[in-house]
Amino acid sequence: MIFTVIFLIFNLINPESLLDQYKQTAGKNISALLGEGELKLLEKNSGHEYYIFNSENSNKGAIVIFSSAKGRIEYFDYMVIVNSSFEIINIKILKYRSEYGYEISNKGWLKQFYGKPSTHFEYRKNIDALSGATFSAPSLVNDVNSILDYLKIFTE
Amino acid sequence: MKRKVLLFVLILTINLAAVKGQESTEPQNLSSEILAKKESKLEFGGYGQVDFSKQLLENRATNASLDVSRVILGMGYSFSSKTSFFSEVEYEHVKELYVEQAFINHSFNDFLNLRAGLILIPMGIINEYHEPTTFNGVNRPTVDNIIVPTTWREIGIGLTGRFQGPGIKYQAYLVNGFSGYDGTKGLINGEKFLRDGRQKGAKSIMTSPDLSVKIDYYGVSGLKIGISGYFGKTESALYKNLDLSNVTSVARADSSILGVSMAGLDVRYNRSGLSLRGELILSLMINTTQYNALTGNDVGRSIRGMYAEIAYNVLQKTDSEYSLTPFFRYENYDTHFKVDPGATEQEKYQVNEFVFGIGWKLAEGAVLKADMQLAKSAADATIRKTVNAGIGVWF
Repeated sequence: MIFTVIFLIFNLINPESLLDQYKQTAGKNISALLGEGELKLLEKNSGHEYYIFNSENSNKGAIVIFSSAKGRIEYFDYMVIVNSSFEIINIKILKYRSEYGYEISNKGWLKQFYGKPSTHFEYRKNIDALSGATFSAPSLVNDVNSILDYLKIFTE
Repeated sequence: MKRKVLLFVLILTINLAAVKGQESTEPQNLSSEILAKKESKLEFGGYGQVDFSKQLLENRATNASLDVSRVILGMGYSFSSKTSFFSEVEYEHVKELYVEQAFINHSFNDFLNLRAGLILIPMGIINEYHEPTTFNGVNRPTVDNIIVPTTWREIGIGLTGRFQGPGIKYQAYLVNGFSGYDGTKGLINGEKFLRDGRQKGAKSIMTSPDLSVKIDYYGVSGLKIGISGYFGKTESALYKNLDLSNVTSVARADSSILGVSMAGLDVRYNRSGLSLRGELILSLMINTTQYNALTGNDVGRSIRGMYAEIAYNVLQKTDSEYSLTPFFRYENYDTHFKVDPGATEQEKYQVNEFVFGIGWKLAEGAVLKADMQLAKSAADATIRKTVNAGIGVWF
């Protein structure tokens, strides 16, 4: 499949954004889920990059967020896609550096975050514990919550 | 309609954000923010446990034991995004000092990492994941003490990597083996199996390297399956300055070596507060007849250990910030599963063990534990009962 997502980046002073680093991997996921379109930088704060995705041939709006969270020792980079109803439709671990906690990239486990608008996620409660990822899994849960909290400014 | 309104709001927000960006005097730059976070290249962590243990005897008094079993300080340093060093320094029983891990890791990509130094042997569950908040019960499972001599670590070099799509991780290392003979006595026996042969990277000797491999599958949510293998020979001090023309010395040195093959299967499953885990370890020893004749020890030819455990967090469905997890574990091991022809199969080495207890997690990295251990070997007339309690932390 041809790489079809066109990226428009507002902030040219920041050529090393997470989007830049993971253009290819992230682009594949985005175009597979949302089709062709463009990403516009919305906001950067607290280690998160927020982009608006505008579809070219339908009105499938979405927000794509890039983030970096910490495992026990090392950081991992990931992407979240939120649809226009503010439900998470995809989380992709883009780079996992440590030898421990890599289990968070398991797709089935990540699915627990999907399609649950206005949910506060809690490790071991509505997100199952994950063997081997004692630090990374709760860290991802907290980071996703902070992203969703920020997005509340659009819904409230 | 709702969607369009939302999009309109979003587009409006983009413009607002753009205006805000212009007004801001400080340029916002995420990568610098992240780099700043990552600039703390030196990271510290640790874990520890303090335990109480008392054997319950009939018609006899006995003292309880109170022990700072271990306190570990972990330190990681990233030289670059690809190269890092990790070490753990351990105090056991307050006074014994060890280095538990000390290795350099270089990541070429997700599939290929080079690792070298003092590394944990990947066998079963606990040897690699032995922090007290990750297992149930005050003590580590006995199978992971006697059959897999946790914490089993030696100096070596190897490759490791992950395939995220299917969810597979591999590890393959060439490592130093157990010391089977220190020059005066054999260190491997029927009672403690390989435990006293661990060299732990302390002035260790090597006659020939061993191979350690493990493949983990984590492609299904909540499930983790591991297959481990360890193949090689023990090391012996009798090869020091060995005169190869002296037939007697060479034969004696050869008798001081044991062939070690170990295979392990482990399964872990977590779902909605329920957690199941199990492990099966089989070991075959070669050259036992000669080794036992030389040392007077009683190493078995075939060794077997297994356990199965079930646990459930009873506060799972509540709003509680705590988790309260009763568990039950059954263990069975036999270091004399098979012995040399003519040798006596010691019944005392064939043990059944039941452990039941509870863990109360005050926070994700802090736990209070209590349990009751019931053990009985085939030679015992009565059941040995031990009550344990302790605290465990990991950060």
